[in-house]
Order: sequence, then structure tokens, then C-alpha cells
Amino acid sequence: MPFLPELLRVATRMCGARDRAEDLVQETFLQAWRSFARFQTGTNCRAWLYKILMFSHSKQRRSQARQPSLTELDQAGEKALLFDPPTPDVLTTEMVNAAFGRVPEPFRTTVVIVDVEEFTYREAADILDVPIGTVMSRLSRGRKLLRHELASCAEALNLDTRERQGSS
Amino acid sequence: MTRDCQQIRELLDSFLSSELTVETNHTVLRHLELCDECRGEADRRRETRRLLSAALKDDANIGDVGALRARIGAAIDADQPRGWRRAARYWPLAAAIALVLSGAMWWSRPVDAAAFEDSAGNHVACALGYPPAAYDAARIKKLLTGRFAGLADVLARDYDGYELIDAHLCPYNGRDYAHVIYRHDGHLVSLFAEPAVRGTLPRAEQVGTLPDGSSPVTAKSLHGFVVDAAGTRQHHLFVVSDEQATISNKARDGILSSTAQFVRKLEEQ
Repeated sequence: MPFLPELLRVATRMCGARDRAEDLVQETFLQAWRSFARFQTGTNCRAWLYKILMFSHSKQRRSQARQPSLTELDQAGEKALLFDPPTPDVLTTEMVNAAFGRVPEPFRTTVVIVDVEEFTYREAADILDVPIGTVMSRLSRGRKLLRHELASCAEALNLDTRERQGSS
Repeated sequence: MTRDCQQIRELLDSFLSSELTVETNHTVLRHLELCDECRGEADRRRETRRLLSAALKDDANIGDVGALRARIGAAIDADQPRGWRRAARYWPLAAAIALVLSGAMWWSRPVDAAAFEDSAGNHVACALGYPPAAYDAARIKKLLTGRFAGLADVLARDYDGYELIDAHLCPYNGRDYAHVIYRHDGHLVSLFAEPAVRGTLPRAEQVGTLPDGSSPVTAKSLHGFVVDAAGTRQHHLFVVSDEQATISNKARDGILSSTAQFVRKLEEQ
């Protein structure tokens, strides 16, 4: 089963709980098995499995009626658009992980697909089944939100970035 | 921060993802060369991505997937029609299916059809428009960073009269090239090295073999340039020279061979 650990990692990040992530990955491979005849030889198998994973995830969320509220997304988006803080000088894995955990969906998944899993914008649009402009907008907001959260973390840890902001 | 800096920072993330057009990409590169503040911000954003990848790709968080693999296998088995399930119990048939499937996966490996074309394109976009530069080790250290940092140190300053003049990271058409520029008798030659993430090298005429015999060297003529290529397990290497002043085999093999040794060490890490 190709890409199993990788898909489980991404699914765990999306679902939040290991058991739900395992169900999602199982559903993904089952769907891939059933629709293997539709897989186009010569295309990217990894991207195809990600597309099925995303589709299964949105189906699962719809059935559980757990869509995030529009207000939450709007507020998050607005916050990110107002000001883009510089990235703090001191960064640690724990800090980045904690900050990223506070970035809301769907920005978080889009950032994972592009910045972590290194798919191109066009591949991400295909995987997420949205226009490429939506991918770019979600990425822009997601990355800015991450910088906001990192700046907050740095402030909480007393790693003040105001001096650099002022001088730049 | 100047207005230029503000505009460049809006582009920085797409620059790091190699998603800018060639022209915009070089505008960003030129700005970063001159602006310490924005270069620092680019480095921090690159570091943020590295740490995020390290955190999210840590297999220790996932643990053993053996049980899940077995569960999925059982689910797929249960999903098959009953007659098929009975037949699959016969191992020769199962082995034959596995053989066909692995063959299909082998043949379905994507081919990076634009690999030669993009190398020639970036040679035109970058090397030929490059300001005349003299070798500057400090400048190369500043501009050739990330996984390819240190590549210039393993390359000779001179291969058969071809003189190393500059090296930098050179994103182009979504590719993360390391770009090393050589000059000989007024002609520029580019070495490009990139991770082979888009598939295998397309077929081309074999014109030689790397001196250690590890990889064939193939070549294509495109738009007045000759692109020589060699591959390692995870990287593609290209040497682009003018069709009217093709690089000597000795220089080409020397450059490709040193670069192949460098990227193989990366692949072992």
C-alpha cells in the first residue's frame, strides 16, 4: 500500500483523532481499489490518493454536519489580511507546531498540501477540487495566520519582535 | 521597510514555493541580493516550513501502521465479489496479479516531459541575462543555500578551461534548480541540479556515460542549445551549452560527475 504512513499523518492532522484518521485512510484505500480502473496511467498516483483522501474527508464531514462556521472563517481571514507580521527570529518545532494547530480549516489543510507535502498550486487545486485562485487565497491567509500565531507565541515567550518591526 | 520590500514580502511565499513567473522570480532574487531585511525574512519563512515539515512528518507520531495495513487489506478482500475471493486463495493467481500490478506501477511512473525544455529555458532566462560576474565565494555562499549549500565547494573552479563564475538557487517554472554558471571563451554554460520529483528523464540520445559508470549521459538539441543530462536516484542534472560552442566532453563529464557525487551524498542522508 503506497503512501500509507504519509496519508495517515495527514489524515490525523485533519481529523484530530487517530481512530477517525484510520477510518478515513481505510475508506481512501477502499475507494482507490474500487475506482482503480479510472486511474490514468502516467499520472501522479500520490496526488490521486490525496484527492480521494480529501474527497472522503469532506464526505465524512458533511455526514457528520461538522462544517466550520462561515463567521469563524471570515474573522480569521480578515485578521490575516490586516497586517502581516514578520516571522520571529527564534523558532522551534514545538512553537511552529503549536502555532499551526491554531490555524483554522480550510487554510491549515491547504498549507499542509503545499508547504509540507510539496504539491504544486495546480496539483493542490486538483486534490482539493477547488479553483487555483482559491488555493492561492487560502495559502496566503493560512501562511499569514501562521505568522500571526508565531508572533503571539514569540510574545508569550518574551521573544520580542517589535524592535525589528519598528526598524523595518 | 520600503514599498519595494512590502511588495517583495507579498511574493516571498510563492517564491519559496517556486510558483512565480520567471520575470517576477528574478525580480525577487535581485531584491533579496540587495536587501538584508527581506533576505532574513525569506530565511525565517523557509525555516518555518522546514520545522513544520519536521513536526508533521515525524513518523514517531504515527507509530506502527501494520495493524491498519492488515485492516485495510481485509476490507479490500471483503469488498471483492465472492467468486473472485475464492479464486484469490490460489497463490499462483495472486502472485500473477501482483506481478501485473507491479508492472503497471512501473510503467505508470510519470515522465518529466519538460525536463530538457525547462533547463534550456532557464539558461536563456537566467544565465544569458546574467550580469558579468567574477567568481565571488562569499556571494555564492549567500545565494546557494538549502540542500545545495556546499555544491560550489565540491565543484572545481576550472574544468578543461571552463571557469566557474557564479552559483545560486534558481527557481524556474515550479522547479527548484541549483544553477552554476561556467564561462569559456566568452560562452556561458549552465549546470542545473534539481530533485527528480516530477518523474523520470524523458528519452534522449545517449552520448556518453558518467566516468564512474553510474549513469548514462543523454542529450537533446533545443532552440540552438545542447542539453546534456544525467540522473541519480533522486536528482536530475543538466548541462546547457550553446550549440555553436558545445561544451567539451571532458568538462561536461567533470561537472556532471562532481555534482552527481554531491547529490548522492544528500540522498544517503
